[in-house]
Amino acid sequence: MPWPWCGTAAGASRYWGLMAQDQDWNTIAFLVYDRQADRVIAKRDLPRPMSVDSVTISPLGNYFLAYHNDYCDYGKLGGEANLCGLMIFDRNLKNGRGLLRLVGQ
Amino acid sequence: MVCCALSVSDLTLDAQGREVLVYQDIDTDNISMLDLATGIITPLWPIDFTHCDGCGMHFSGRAIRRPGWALVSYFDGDPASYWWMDDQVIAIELGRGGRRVRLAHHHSLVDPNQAHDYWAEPHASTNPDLTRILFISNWGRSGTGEVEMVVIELPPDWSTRP
Repeated sequence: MPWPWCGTAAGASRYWGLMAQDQDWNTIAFLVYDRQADRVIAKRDLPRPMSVDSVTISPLGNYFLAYHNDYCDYGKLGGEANLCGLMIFDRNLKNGRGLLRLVGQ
Repeated sequence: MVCCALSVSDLTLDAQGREVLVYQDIDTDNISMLDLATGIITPLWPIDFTHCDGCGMHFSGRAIRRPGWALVSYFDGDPASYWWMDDQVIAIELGRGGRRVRLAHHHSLVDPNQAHDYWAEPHASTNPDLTRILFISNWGRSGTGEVEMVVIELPPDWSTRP
């Protein structure tokens, strides 16, 4: 049974960015929860279970960020077809694009 | 060429209210700021690793009611200080050549070979107004696990004082 695992709220705490993981701790979906409306307003299934360190939502709640443990090739960023490095999505979890190629610890 | 690579980071607002990521860029060895809407990266300050003895840093961007500022807490395993960021909790203004305001010498010794010392990393964290800041320190007691929490109190007008 997947369950929301990790995430944070925007500054006003209305929107929460969450991810769902499977029994092997791989991420299978991203979620955005609207606390005011008390419902999940966006869900994005990943193309395959992926290793994602964490997710968060921007201070004003406009963007969802995912910190992928898979890095992008040197000189390249992620995109809709290749989720890697630091990815950003609109609050509706569409329009994915890469911000940084590698997320270290 | 597309860069860059991130180590530690936090999200916050710049002085214009834009949503930005403040982070340690491990490709260029800078503290940098990334505009989430445009992807434009602005290097803020170079990081001097000349005397790095297990050094590291953390950011806090929780001051959303004082946009344009972020906190940096920089630590290492050497009690001596060699440059302006060493062993300090600092507020940095989010812009190229922005102001740097030293808030505290945290005195925390963080030896990467001592497991207990992870808990001594001073993850300074601010309230939304950037007038109350918490951090922890082992006050030189590396490897002991003995840490204390310290609060910094700032007057509301600190960022406009000369």
